Amino acid sequence: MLVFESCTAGYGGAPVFRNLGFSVAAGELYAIIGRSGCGKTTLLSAAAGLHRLEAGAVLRDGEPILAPHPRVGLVPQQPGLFPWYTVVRNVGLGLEISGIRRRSREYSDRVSRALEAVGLTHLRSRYPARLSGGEAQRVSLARTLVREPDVLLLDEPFSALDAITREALQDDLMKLLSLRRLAAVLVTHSIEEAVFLGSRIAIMSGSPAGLTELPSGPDRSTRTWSRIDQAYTEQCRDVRKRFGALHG
Amino acid sequence: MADPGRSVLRRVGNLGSGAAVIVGVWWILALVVSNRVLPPPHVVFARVFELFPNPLLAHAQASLARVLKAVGLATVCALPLGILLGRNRVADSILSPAAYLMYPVPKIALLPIVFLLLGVGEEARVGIVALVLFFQMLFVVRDAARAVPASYVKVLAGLGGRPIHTVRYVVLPAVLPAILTGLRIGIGTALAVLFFAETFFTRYGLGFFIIDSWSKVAYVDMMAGIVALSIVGIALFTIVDLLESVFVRH
Repeated sequence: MLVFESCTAGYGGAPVFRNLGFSVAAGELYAIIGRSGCGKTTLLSAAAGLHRLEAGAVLRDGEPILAPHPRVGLVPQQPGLFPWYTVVRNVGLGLEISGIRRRSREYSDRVSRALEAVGLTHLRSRYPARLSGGEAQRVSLARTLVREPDVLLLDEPFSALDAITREALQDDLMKLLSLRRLAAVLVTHSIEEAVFLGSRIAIMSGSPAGLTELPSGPDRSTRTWSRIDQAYTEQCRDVRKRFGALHG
Repeated sequence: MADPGRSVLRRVGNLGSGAAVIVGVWWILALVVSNRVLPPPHVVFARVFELFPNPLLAHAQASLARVLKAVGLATVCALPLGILLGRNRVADSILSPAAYLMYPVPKIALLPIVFLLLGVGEEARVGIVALVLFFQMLFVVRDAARAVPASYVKVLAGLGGRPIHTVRYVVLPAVLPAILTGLRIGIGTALAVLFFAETFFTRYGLGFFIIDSWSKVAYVDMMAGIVALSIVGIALFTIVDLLESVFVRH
């Protein structure tokens, strides 16, 4: 369980968001839609232990997150793969940092499992320069999964991808989240993405920003909608209207 | 990735064609000038084979050893300092102005001071070449360390990386190509400085051999020494290229 408790953060004394509060249970994906610069990335950085809150706290199973935690994984907007390491080494970097030796059985097992989860076992020896955008983002996801997180923070991870690749990755992420029962927070510009992936949806708006949670759509754990279902398109339209109303 | 065998063959081919152009120009120049100061290539190459291995090899070994020691010393000093300047604004604001002031000073002009401080032995010759390489490398390493994208550092922090991990997994691999570039740029200047430094207080080294031959009016020997010095330079460039192919794999 991930709880955001009256979170306030900013830069140089100017608050970016104020008193944000929500909770995300295991197996849920909380989707936050907002315009650029409204503080979405700052919110996720705080949850990842990379940005200090001015007030409030982000709690994982009741414990405040004050520094990066191995069970809290962040997937950034840009894959940020290190060009000098192969796919395997990029994926296993978090393990190396936590003191697991590269030649150990545990290291190779966990890296193989993470690559298998994103369907990239055949690219393990490749360097990032020779990966497509979608493959690079999958490697970034594997790098997060290898640490076996129970919380996943997704910072517009598909925004730089073409539509076809983006939808394929969204489908895979959906399966992964259901399978592993991770508590996930997704921040995005895309209303369609938020509706497709989100168990719950909130809009981040205002200055300093606040959150407006929308009434829940169909339960993601039971629904099987596709992007051409009427229920999906209707909810997209509904969210778009509310987004428009909140942003004037 | 390029086939290493093919890459070596291409490199040998390039070197061969480059050498052919130089020898061709040299030959024409020797015919035009027609002076014993500039003997034609075939005479010089025949002399190189006569002087090899004794005494040419000993002189070449002495020069190569000095350059390699200087490269090691310069790297050991410039790498941590360059990273510090590139990653720490306070250190950069304090130390970089001094480094800027020192950079344009021709290091060879400092040779008497280096002899005074380090004595007239090997240490001084290695020291002056290291000094040349140090400044070349310091600035390229600093700039490369500074140019490391913040997103890489953030990714590593998100994986639980501390500053020491940032240096090990991000900064060092990011500056490695810069170190090799610094070396490649610096080697030419380093050999020129070494040549000069070897004309004082030593009886070994290609610099000594060339100047000694010149003073004895043995122009063919002098040219043989220059050819040997070129071969040492090519060997050093090849070592840098090999290091690059092994360590810089993107």
